[in-house]
Amino acid sequence: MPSRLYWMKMVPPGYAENPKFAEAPIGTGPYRFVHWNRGQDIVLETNAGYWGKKPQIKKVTYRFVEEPGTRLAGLKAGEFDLITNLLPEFTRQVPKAAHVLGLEHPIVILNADAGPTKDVMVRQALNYAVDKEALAEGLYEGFAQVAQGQLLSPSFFGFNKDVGPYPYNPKKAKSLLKQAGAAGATVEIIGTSGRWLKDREIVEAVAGYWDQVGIKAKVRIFEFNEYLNRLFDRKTRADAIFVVSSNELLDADKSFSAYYKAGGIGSSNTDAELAGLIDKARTETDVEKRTSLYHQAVKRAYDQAYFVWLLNIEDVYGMSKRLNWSARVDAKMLVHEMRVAE
Amino acid sequence: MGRYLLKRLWHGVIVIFGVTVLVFVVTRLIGDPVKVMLPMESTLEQRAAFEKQLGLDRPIPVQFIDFVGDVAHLDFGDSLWQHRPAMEIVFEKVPLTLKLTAVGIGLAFLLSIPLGIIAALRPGGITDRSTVFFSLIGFSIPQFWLGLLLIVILAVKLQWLPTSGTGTPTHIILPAITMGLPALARLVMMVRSSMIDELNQQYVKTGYAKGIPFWRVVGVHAMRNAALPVVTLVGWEVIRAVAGYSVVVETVFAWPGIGLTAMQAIEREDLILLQAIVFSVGIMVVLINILMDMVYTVIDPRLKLK
Repeated sequence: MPSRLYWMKMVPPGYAENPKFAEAPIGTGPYRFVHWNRGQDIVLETNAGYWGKKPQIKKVTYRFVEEPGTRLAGLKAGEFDLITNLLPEFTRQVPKAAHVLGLEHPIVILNADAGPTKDVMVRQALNYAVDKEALAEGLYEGFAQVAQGQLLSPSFFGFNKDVGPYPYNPKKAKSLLKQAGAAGATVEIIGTSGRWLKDREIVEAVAGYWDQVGIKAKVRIFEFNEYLNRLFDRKTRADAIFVVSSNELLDADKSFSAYYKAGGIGSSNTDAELAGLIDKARTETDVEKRTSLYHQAVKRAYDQAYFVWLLNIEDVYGMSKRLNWSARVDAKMLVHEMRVAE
Repeated sequence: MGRYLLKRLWHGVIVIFGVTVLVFVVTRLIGDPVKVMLPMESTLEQRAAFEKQLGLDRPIPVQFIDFVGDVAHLDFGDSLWQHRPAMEIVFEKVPLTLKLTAVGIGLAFLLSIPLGIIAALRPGGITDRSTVFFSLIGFSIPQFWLGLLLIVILAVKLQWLPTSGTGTPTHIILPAITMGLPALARLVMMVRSSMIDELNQQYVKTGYAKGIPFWRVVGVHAMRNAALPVVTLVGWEVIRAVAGYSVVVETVFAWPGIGLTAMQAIEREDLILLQAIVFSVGIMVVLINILMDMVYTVIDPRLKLK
């Protein structure tokens, strides 16, 4: 049986880079390259000279298939053993599905310096107005978890477990808006379409929830390039702009520096205290001190409602019946961790 | 013939140049590859450094002059995505698209002749009406949907054929059908209407009267005269397939031709590869047009040259 070649085809979507190929040195890993047609397929075979435990699977082919429907068809026809980025609505159709809390955090960045969102009560209202559980069920078929009021998953360094989501409370949202004198204010929310899973739909849903508490939500969806112009525009910040932050390092620094910290490439606040905390945390070597700094940063941003925290999206994979594999949080698909049933 | 060919080639060169200028200008006006290629949370300094590395910080006229000089050598530079010469990628992928187009449109053309003729023989009859009916459906179906439908029925449910990719002769069947079906429908309609016109002509009746066999009158004499609009349409279908529909069909079937590559280049904002692709497709379109013109002169000698 070990001599039998196990054919396994895996299918990453065309737009995702598979980072581990740049990392894995050819020749010292459990697999070696046979060939790589860019954008088409990659074939690996076991490396006879590998010093470690021999993996069960002898040969693997990665195929790049852009069209989600075709990926699903390939899985169902028995041509593929594993497909990535399975659309939530397809999960009922696959022989087996694997899902794990992923790296993607959809979030809305609120302008804390100008416009109707300048008032912290308005920003809090915008948080109370959104039913995040409904978003997880409705848009992701439950394959998403409600974000805990921070741009971090529970397993990330810096996660503050004493902070939870703003609960869904449209009444409170309306009263906060009234107190702030902002009932009926117009808030422009900017998003893009087709870059992240359900990116357009989330923005439209959030706008809908805001409408329900009396905000006039203006949705503007831009082509990705134009959207990026606005996200990174340091001169004029949008009232509200949507983004999906993905943090492969599982550490707060990168995303906090970009979005939480004043002057960061995508941030919409000028909170010097918050920026100070983040700067200090970046260079702090004592783990306990560093953790505490991030906890403070999370709490402060939460109290100031600089964002509408939404969800942590799960990575969903479709698998064939014979494949045994658990998905990883860092979204790597390591073939030597996979097993194929006889 | 020689002078005509030269004239056509010259027009072709002008068209290609115009297209290339357009692509150069447009992709620089609406896109910024630096923003898209670097990870979302890169700093401004990292972006500036990358831009300099790609030569995109130079003024546009300077970039363009360099560009024209390079194009003359077919040197579009290295693809930003694959880090190898863009034209090399084009040469790799174009044959696959041509293969798919040849099979798809070729079959469509061959099948359209008998189907169109049969419909034309009895206009208004049952065969004719059902031919028209199915043709209308055939070219109204969006190819994207048709491709996925074929995959679901023939590859997933019946498992007669593979779902995507290349490798065996069976891999080309579904993409070729998807490519060719709308073309077949349009061609059938054209053959039919062309033949109806011809079969009403005086010479046809004369032919029968003279005792020429039925199949010769229809298949040779009438067909020859009806051929011109049909051949025009075939040329159009080939061009539309290569320069347009290939993107959709190749994406659905993960068929690694120039259409799929164009799609991937767009997603990755690979300006360099995009320009190479558009330029090459432009050349192919011009060549196909010239080829069609030469075919006309064979079919209808009266058209031989001014």
